[in-house]
Amino acid sequence: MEREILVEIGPLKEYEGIKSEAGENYGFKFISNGKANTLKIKVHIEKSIAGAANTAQIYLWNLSRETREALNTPGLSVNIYTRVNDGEYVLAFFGGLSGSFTERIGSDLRTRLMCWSAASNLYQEAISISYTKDVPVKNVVTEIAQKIPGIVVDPLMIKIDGKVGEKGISEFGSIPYILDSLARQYGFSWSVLDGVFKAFPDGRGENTSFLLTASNGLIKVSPRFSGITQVQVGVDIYSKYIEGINPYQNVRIESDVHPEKMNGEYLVHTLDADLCPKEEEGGWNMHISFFFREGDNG
Amino acid sequence: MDNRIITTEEQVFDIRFWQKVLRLNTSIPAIVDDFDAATQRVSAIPAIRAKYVTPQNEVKYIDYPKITNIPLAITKCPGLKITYPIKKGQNCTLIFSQRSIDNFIIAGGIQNPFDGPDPTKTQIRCMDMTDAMCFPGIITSNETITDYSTDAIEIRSADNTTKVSVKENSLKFLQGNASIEMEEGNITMTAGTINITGTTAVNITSPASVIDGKEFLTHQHSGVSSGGSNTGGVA
Repeated sequence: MEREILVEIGPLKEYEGIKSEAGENYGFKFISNGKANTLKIKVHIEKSIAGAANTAQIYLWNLSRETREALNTPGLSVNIYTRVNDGEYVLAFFGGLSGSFTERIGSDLRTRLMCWSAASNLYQEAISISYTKDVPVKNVVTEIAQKIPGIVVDPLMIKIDGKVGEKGISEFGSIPYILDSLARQYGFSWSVLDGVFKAFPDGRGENTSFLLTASNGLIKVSPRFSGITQVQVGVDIYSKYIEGINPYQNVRIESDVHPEKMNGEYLVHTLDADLCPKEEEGGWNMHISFFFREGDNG
Repeated sequence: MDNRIITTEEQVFDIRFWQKVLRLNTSIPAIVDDFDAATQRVSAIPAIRAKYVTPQNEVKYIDYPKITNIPLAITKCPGLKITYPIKKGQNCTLIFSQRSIDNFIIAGGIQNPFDGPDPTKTQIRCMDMTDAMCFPGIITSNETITDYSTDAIEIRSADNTTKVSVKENSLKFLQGNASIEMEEGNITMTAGTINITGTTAVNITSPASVIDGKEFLTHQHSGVSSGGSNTGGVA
């Protein structure tokens, strides 16, 4: 299997615009297909439905001094695409550059780019919001999301139930703080994923499902336990990286190993992927976690 | 103290703890923005701004949100209330309930907290700015009360020309130059003109009623003579 990573950086800051299609508009373009004549690149991506925790770390080897210095510009937009067997480029991550760091490893210089989805957008301002009773919570969340610069707010990606209670809502703080506060009260999760704001009731997602089996890359499915009594709190799924799977989507597991216990449909709560085009130097894998969610006492 | 220099787990805990404490709402002075006399609900804006440091280390001081639909707290008991007008711009104190009060302010009594559409997946609102209760009246240095009584409970106007004053052994009603004072069993009324209108009767019962220095029960009239003529004035 031939695998390829395309990283496009800049020229705009993340909050200045929405992502473009692969190869359309960029300041820097790095491609690696694992062959000796291309750059060495590794990528680690972490995505989640839980707030603003979507990050990517890009490792680039032996860049010129000029390129390293040019990449030392926080806020630049970052697109990471993957491509398999000369297929289409598929977006794996969109976000902003939050920092870069170069270190010497043996005879090589490795530059690490730290990226965060909506990094420069979410914490720019603190806001005050005030809503009276009976306003749909969906409207409240939509209006807050629209205050985040440079992201897409699609009503179809905001599906929240309920109305504001008798006392209304009065909140102050950073946008993530306010959204987290509302999410706890009204039972939903939110995230900015690849430049798109998404919010769904706990336990629900986009209603899209990917079948994962041993034949298309499933490696392992295991229950996650916690606490003294080892209560099952979730499920961990390990597989080859499959383009297009993201948090808020479902994966359907079909496996011959413990089918009665582990087969089923799981909402992707978190997804982290390690991507390296060169097979002998790294994987092309992903790890999906699904958690059982319960209300809190109080 | 430079919070960026962290060397122990205790310091990490301290920082996290204080970050959480800064988000807890207990009480805060506020300015009344609106009052609905029919529902007795207040809208108010906290009077102390919030500090926010941006990722670029820029310090901003930002108004807290207007809090709406705040129940007014007054002195009352079943059947009796003390009410007073609430005006836009006046000071008040907001006390924040430790649990959501939506259901309580609708029906009173003991209620469940307000909960989300699926209570199995939600968290109850606590120590939240939304759950404010309004206690009117907090004195700032630029609005001190002149002639503040140190020995009486007073209901009074700002200029002290109209008031009810209650002391341990006296009660006084004052309006401008008119007053009614009750002290040690006696009442003293002072006014430019005192009008008493009894639509049926005015009864005065006293062993000694004195009008302008003349004893009413033993007073005599001048110019008294027999016949059908009128008496003269009080002698």
